[in-house]
Amino acid sequence: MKDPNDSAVMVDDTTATACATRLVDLSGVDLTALRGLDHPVLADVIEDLLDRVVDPLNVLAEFDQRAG
Amino acid sequence: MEAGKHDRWATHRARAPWPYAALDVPALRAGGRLARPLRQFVVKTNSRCNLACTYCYVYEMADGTWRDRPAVISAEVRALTVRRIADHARRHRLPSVDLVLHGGEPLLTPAAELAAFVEELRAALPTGCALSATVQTNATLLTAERLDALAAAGIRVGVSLDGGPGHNGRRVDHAGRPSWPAAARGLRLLAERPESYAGLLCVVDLEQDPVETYESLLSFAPPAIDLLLPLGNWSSPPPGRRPGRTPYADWLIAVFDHWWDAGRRRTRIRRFEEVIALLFGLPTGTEALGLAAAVTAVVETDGSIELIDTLKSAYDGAADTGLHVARDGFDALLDHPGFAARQLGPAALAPVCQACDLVTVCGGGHYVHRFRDGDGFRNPSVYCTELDALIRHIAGRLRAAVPERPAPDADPWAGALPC
Repeated sequence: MKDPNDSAVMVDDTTATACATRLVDLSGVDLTALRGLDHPVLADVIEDLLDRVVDPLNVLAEFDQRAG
Repeated sequence: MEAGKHDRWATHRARAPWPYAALDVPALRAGGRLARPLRQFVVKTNSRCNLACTYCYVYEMADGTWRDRPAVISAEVRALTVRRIADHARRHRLPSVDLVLHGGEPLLTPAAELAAFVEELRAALPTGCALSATVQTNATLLTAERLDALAAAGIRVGVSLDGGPGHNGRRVDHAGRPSWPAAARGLRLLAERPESYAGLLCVVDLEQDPVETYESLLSFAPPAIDLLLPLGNWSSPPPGRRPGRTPYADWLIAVFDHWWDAGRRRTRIRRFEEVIALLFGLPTGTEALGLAAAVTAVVETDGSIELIDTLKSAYDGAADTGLHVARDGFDALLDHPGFAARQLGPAALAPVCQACDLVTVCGGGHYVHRFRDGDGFRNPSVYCTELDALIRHIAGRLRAAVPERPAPDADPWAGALPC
């Protein structure tokens, strides 16, 4: 595949070669079942993400030039 | 059509045919594609800054509109802005609104005036509509008194900083002097007020060691950090980008692995945590990833209603809509092609992105990174290969940390190999 700068607008050769397989699908994973996971960083991240499970409509694609 | 309006549309159509010549918003609406209301309002209280950071998208890139704007938002424009936000919240029965005080440098305005503005808006919003407010500052003007005034009005403080003294070299004042000493003083005061501390924004600098940069940011005890990719596009590429290589992904991956393997979460890192959220199929909290609709409007010091101001990195006037709080409500922005394009989800993306395995996570990357002059915004991100590498790396680390499940009919691990 060609560099996106080309008119064909495709992605880089090395990426296409190395990653021809599909991305793992974690969308069906039950996050509540992962609470207390033995990975401290991921366990903390999951605690924060559980709010998004409860109230997905109030998660907004916010302006990124603002911290927090 | 008045001359200014004609020029504006002619510029948009010439520089960005997609969406300005190609997107038929009335047909979208007639076909049942409704707009999502705004939820976030970025108000430029000051169009000038006491710093002159070398990479600033307001002053150092394609757009020069700041020169013609008032230095400070007037009381009249503030009042009109409050009324328009409250009207929008009422009309759409919004449960909450987020206000970002921005600039330039918003603390060039006395903190008491910023606090009064927020209180005015809080009082004007309909009952049941909550207000969250943040000021995004360079921290050089933070004092204990200003922090107290901001805290009393419930305004949290976010700081733009690229790291410690050895990593902050591009953030200088108008005489070229480093902003570091004053920023560090302000940050030490802010770190004593964790309830006020929103976090740090850092722009990735390939010339700085990633882990050292990250550790220098941690020295200010931020509750959250975001690592922003420099603004750039196909016509004005970001520094250091080379075909076949992924220096920005390599930089971010170094930080990710250091953060991931730390044994405890020392801070939240928004970019990484949003990728994780999207990999789990959850909605995104950032405009830079995922396919969620844009919900942010910008009001400039003169009352102009604009598209996100990072578009100023694309071409002069790229954020311009012709709308103004004196004449127009925020609903008028929703049907502007430049805004409607950012609420289309995958339909706004190049065909190669729509077909990509990563599209629900990457989302085509940040809209402004897709620009090509004379073509517009329907291209992959100029950071496409970088995002690909970063997302696959995070997915691999995440998969390794999540226990495998018994194989149901659709086994998520089947066919997924490490990248």
